[in-house]
Amino acid sequence: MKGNGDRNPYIPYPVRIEKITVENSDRDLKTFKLVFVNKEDEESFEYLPGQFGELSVFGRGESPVGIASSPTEEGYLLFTVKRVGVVTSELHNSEEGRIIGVRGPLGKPYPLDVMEGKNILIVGGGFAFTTLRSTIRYLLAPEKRGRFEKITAIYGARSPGELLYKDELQEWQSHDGIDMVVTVDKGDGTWTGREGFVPTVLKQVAPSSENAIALVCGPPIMLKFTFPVLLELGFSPEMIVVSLEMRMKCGIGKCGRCNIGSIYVCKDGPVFTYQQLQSLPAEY
Amino acid sequence: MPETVNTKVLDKQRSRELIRAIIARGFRLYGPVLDETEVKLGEIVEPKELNLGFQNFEMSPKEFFLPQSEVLCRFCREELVPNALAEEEKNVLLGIRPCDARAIWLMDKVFLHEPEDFYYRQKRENTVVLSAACTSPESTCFCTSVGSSPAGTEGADVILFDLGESILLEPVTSNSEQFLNQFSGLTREASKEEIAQRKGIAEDAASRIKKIPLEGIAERFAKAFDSGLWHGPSLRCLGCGICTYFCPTCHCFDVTDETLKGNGQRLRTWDSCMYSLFTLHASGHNPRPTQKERVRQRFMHKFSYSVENHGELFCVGCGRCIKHCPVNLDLREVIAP
Repeated sequence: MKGNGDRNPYIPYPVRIEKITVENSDRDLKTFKLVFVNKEDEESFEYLPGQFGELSVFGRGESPVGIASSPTEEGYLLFTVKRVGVVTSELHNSEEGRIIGVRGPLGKPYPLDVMEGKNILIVGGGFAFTTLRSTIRYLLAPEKRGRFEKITAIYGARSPGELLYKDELQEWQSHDGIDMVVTVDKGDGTWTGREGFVPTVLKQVAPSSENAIALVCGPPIMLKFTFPVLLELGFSPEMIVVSLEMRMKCGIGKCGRCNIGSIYVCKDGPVFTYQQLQSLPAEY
Repeated sequence: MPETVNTKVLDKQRSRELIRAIIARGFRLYGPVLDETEVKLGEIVEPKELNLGFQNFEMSPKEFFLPQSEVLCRFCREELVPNALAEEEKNVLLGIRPCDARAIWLMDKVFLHEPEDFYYRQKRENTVVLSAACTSPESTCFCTSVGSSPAGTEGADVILFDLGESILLEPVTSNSEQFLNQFSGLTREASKEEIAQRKGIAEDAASRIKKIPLEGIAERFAKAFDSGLWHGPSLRCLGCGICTYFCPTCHCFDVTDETLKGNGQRLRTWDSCMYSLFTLHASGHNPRPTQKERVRQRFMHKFSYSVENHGELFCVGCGRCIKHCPVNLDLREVIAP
């Protein structure tokens, strides 16, 4: 076989669940820190922000999940998983130490080469913030930070308890390298931060589109109202980058499930420009 | 086809010997087996007279390369059990029709594209395809409209022509001459007359197949995405998926795990874009919520998206979807301009 050596793309790498972190007050979002059982597997799992993996619980099945860690964090992978179906429920019921599988990295990453030398705007909503967390970690890594200009991130969730990566959000809010704006749809008694939907806050913050590229990931309703604001701010459709969600199985463009128009979300995406998205049937 | 090709002829009386010789060379031979009224693709273990006079296999031979259910990996509790190395089995697929051979050639474009499908490639590499030119097309056939023909050679290593008392064997791929040379004691060189006869057979069968003008269908369908074209067919469609199961080029699959007492396996199983579950997200959102979007997807994938991605229609005109549709949905009526 060419490409990935003689490796069978359907066989997962064994990984051990090193740590499980409950992320939200609803307790249906957990971050799994995974460590490769075999060192050589870790070396062949070379990924970039925006890519995903197929998490595998033997006997239950596989589930495609965006990689939340950054390749600049060595020695482990992070996946933040929402409990929704058979595989994710089984993952949520797991104890630390359990061996599961991961296939990947799959899909195309955020366009780091295009992003180089530009101002970066990151817009995230809800639990779709995972690959954007990977991106922020990557951009802020001391050895990478100099390749990018001003970094602005706007992240919102339904309520304070639903925000992911709370410690890091705090850290980034006082970080010189990034302008981090956090908002919630509705605050609670203890919330002193910003309130408001992500598109509204984006309009208020109004980052310049000059030499800038926007990375957007969030629920469909957020995307729907975010695109017009970005266009209004002067971002061209090819400078708006979005990551799509789709039901997937093989992850390598064979099983046909994530097909939209002539593309397959798993191999041609999940990262697309808004321009590409506009040329696709709205079947996502 | 230039006449310099090393075309051979086998007298039918010697076809038993050929079958015996193929098996003796260590190949597993699969070919037409009459099962009550249906012709099935089955393993031939006993030499018998080669009968190529049937119309077509009931099921397409895609299941040979993409089985309806296939093990991807095995595990014991939490641990992967290394895949037993597949035996380097050499197979001969004998007598499949040019439409179905073309379907294999089309599936190659998906499964042998990077990253290559490990399981598909293994079977494909170890199999010699001896197709047989079609002499009696059915009323539901329309291969000549979609790039195929009764004597088309895509996907075949050797194509056979039934000349009545004898069988003409025409090599297609470079490997096939080597394959045929192993049995040169049983065959003789084809005469000019026999090669002329071969041409007649191909032309005669083609002349009996109705043509649908499909030039520019990819663009026509792309424009019709939001049109009323899908309304009628989707109202009739039951969503049973039989069209996709019988289709020799439909290749969508599901991946599921099953376990018994801690031992388990991960399987891939044929799936169908005709089912609502095919695209249903865990969140409850379904990008193709009604049968209209699903019917449209099947047509768009075969007649528009595939042209964009692979330069070919993913339909070979075998007509199985027309024959088996429980509500008589005739694909030809949808694709005709």
